[in-house]
Amino acid sequence: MSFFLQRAPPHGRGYRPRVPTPSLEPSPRSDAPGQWRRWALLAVYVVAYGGFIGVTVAAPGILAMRVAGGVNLAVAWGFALIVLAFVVALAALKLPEGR
Amino acid sequence: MEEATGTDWLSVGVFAAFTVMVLVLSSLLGRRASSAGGYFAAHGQVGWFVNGIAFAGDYLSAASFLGICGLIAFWGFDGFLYSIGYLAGWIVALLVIAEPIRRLGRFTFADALNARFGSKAVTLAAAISTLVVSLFYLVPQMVGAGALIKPLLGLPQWVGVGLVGVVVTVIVATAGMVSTTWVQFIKGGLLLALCAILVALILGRGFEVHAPGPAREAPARGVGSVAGLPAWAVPGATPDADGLVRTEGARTGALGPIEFLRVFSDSEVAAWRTTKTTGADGTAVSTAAPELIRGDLLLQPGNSPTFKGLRSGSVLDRVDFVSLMLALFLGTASLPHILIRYYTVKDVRSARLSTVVGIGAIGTFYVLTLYLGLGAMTGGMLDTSDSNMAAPLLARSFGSVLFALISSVAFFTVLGTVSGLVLAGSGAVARDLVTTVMGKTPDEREQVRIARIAALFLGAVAMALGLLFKNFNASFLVGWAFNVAASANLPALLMALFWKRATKQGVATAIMVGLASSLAWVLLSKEAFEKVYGLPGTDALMPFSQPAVVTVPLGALAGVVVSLLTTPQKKTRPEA
Repeated sequence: MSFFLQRAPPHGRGYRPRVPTPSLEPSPRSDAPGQWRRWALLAVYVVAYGGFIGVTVAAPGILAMRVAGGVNLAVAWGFALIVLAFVVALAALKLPEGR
Repeated sequence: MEEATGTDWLSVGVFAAFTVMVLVLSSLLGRRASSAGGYFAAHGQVGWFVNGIAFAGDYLSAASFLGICGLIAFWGFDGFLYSIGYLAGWIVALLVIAEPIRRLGRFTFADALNARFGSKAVTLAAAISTLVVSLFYLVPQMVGAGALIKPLLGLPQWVGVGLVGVVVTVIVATAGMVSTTWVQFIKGGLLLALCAILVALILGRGFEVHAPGPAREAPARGVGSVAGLPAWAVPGATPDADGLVRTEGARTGALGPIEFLRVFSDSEVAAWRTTKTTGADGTAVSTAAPELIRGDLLLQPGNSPTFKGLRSGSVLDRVDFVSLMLALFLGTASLPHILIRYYTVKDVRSARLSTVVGIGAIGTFYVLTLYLGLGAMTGGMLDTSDSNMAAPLLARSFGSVLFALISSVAFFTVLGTVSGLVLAGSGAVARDLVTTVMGKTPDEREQVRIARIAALFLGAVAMALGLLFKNFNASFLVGWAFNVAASANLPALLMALFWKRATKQGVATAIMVGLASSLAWVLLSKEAFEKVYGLPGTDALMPFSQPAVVTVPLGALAGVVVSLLTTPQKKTRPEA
């Protein structure tokens, strides 16, 4: 059940837990593998989130419009942002790890 | 209608059982936290699923559970705006911060920056920022604990603050991140499960018409209802001319999640508003009165005092709103107590997986908040004197057992978040201030000892602040904490992680300028004048209350300018 607790190391007394050694380079760098896709995913969410804020500020009346299921656009967009966050998170699992 | 007065012994019993369980867990796990790796990062061996749920337990504070539900219960969609913003911040955490932080850092926020620069100035700035942000976040949690204890358990306010302070100090001082992780995991799981049960009960109950009655002296308890239901939702009933059924006791029966929102939108809801008037003899009188509002209006932004500017046409009010939403978006990835949780998993992949689990759990919770709030608004159990009690009172409407469980989880909501905050603060003291700035390099066991002492100190400070600010608005302070965290930490993190030209002087400057400017802004804002100093809001020096839209770019600009004016250091091995 590795998702609950990583397997305990078979060390006895005197075990020093492994901690990552800090690297000398910032990472991920802008040219790290998959970095542009990372920024693209972020941009998708920023557009959706920023669009919601923009409409709320500039034309709040639009949010009263009833959309699917009789729910208004404000609620539907809010739910969509929550679902989109999870979709983006799942998509991020496919990205290669940075260097 | 039963009111929340006197001691509810069932709630006390459930809460006592939970508390004993947590303390036993901490004592059992204490042996695993003798080294710095164990105390600060749980040996980096927490499973990704546990860490993900612990993220939820850490993040879903009293402001999320009690504050948002209360805001929705009184003002509708405005409370849900916080849910949207709080979750959005996790995208920044996942895509920008999670992996490099896990790769570069060891125990504290400063470690991640220090991995590149090895600078005392950067470490000092990061440590100060960690302590300030953690304290900002601690105050509303402790205030929430104190505010909850009386109506929930019938005990004095100082008991709630003291209880949370003592239990948290024991949790953190005995087993550090090991026990904190499990407390947050248990709390996160319980919170999600109980909220899901509550929402299922709300949907199963549907809506029932109750006349709101006349205005009455505030505070009014047992208020909030649906005054008219759409005819299509109550087949066979006789509607009025406007198509609404106002027959007392008319009900919809069970509703699906979308249908629930549609019926609410088409209904007439009795939202209660309190107004203060001054009589001829100068006596102030508070009156609570029902305001009949169409549900679809309540499901649009701009009903609450905080967001009413969205409908006023005021440019500054709209900038204030944008600034708050920006702070929520950027602040999550800048909160030290969230960042240190990335050190508890074994590798970068686990950090990513645990963030995905966290987003799933937190997102699910925030969807539930809308139903919890609307259920509380129409459930007939609101207390106009305290919006934070909306969720617990909603549970009470379904029976004393659920009320006892929700009451206990409400306290654990505070416990889990405060544990993470105290741990982040104690790490900043033991690892950053003592080790780096004061010139001492104690061994790992000594660091743990210092951190435990710091945890005791921070626990005491948290209790004192909880009592000092007992009348303060909890949600308001959380908003400030996000503004300060985003302004102080995010520009510095982005510079350190992604900009090769960044220098240690630039990063330290970004932190200090962001921290100082955001702090100065909030302390000179209208809300601070009115709620902290008791002065007229018109005397405030800042044009709006949420500073992020100004202070985040300001911190970044200062960091960039100073970096360009200073010489990048050659590669050196970072300090231990």
